[in-house]
Amino acid sequence: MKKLEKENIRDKVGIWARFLARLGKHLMFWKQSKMSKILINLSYREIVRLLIETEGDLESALKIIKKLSSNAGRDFLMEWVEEGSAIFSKHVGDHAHWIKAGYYSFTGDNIKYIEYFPPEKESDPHRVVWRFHDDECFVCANGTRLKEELLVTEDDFGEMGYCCIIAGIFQTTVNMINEYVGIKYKGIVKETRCKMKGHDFDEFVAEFYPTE
Amino acid sequence: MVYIEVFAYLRQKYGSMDILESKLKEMGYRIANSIYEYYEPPHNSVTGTVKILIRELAGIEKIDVEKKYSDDGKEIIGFSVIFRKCPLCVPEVEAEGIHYCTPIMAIIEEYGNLALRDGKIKKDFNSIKGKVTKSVSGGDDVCEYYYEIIKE
Repeated sequence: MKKLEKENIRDKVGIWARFLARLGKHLMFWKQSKMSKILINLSYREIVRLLIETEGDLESALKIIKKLSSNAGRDFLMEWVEEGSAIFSKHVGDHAHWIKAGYYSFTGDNIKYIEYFPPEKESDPHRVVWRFHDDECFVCANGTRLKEELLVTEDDFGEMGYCCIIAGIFQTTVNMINEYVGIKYKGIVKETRCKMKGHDFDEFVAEFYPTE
Repeated sequence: MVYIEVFAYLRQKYGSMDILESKLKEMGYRIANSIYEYYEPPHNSVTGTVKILIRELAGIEKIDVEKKYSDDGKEIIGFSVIFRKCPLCVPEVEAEGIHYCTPIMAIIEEYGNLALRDGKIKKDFNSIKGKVTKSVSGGDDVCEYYYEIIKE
C-alpha cells in the first residue's frame, strides 16, 4: 500500500482553499458513480439484517460494521485524499472543512451543521461535531419503518448508532489526511446521537488525540 | 468499498459459497420488494423496465439488452443484460466462485416478477429466472445477467 505524505502543506485553510473546496466537491461528486440513495438505504438495511443473523443481535452487528468500515477502502479513499490535497493544511481544526467537502463528494449532500471545538483543557481532544436533522441522513432515512422491518427496538442498539458506517468511513478518511499532511493526531469518529435511537438528530464527533 | 469488506467477512463466516450466494439473492429479493413499493414499473416491457431500473438505481447509463430466441426464431426464451461500471464489483478485487453483484441480478429478477404478477408489465409469460453469467469481480470485462423466460 502506498504511503501517504506531502511536502509544502499550508498552515491553515484560508479563503482560497475554502473556495477551491466548494468547487472541488461538486467536481468530485460529478465524477463518482452514483447509486441511488434508496438503493444504498435498502442495501445497508439488508447488510445489517445479515449481520444480525450471523452475530446474534443488532449491537454486535453494528460493531462489526463500524470495524469493517473503519478498515475499508484505504485504496479507494487514496484518490479522494490526493485530489483533495489542494485544500489541506496542518491545522487539525480544518478537518471540519474536509469532512464537509468529503461528505458532499461521496453523497452529493451538504452537512448543514458542522463545527470545530478546540480543547478546553490540555487533556481534551480537538473535536469536530456534525449533525443531520430530519431525513438529511440517507442511511437512516425512514427509520421507523427500518426498525419495524429489522424487528428491532431502540433498546437493541446498545452503545451503537445505526449510521456507524459513516463514522467508520470518516475515521479512515481523517486518519489518512493526518498521515498525508503529517499532523501527529489520531482521529476517532463516533456516532453520538442517532434518530433511530430516539434522538432528535444524528450527531457524529471526530476526536483528535495527539500522538506525540 | 464497505460492501467488499462485508462480503469477505460473510464469506468467511458462512464458510460456504452456496450459502453466501443464496443469502445475497435473498438480500436482492427483499430490496426489490421494498423498491417495488416506492417505484412503479417505468415501462410496459420487461427489458425496458430492467434498463430504466438499472439506470435509476445503480446510476449506470449504458446498458445493453440482448434477446435470445427459440431455435425456430419465433419466440423469445430469455434475455441478457450487459453493462460496465457495476457499483458492487471492483476490478481490483476479484472473487472466486461467486459474483459480487448477485444482489443486483436478484433485484431485477424479483422486481420484474412482481410487475408481471400484478399485470403492470403485460406479457404472455409469468416470470423470469436470472443468473449472473459474467461479472467484473469474476475477472470479466462486463457484468452480464441472463434471465430465462418461464411460461407456466
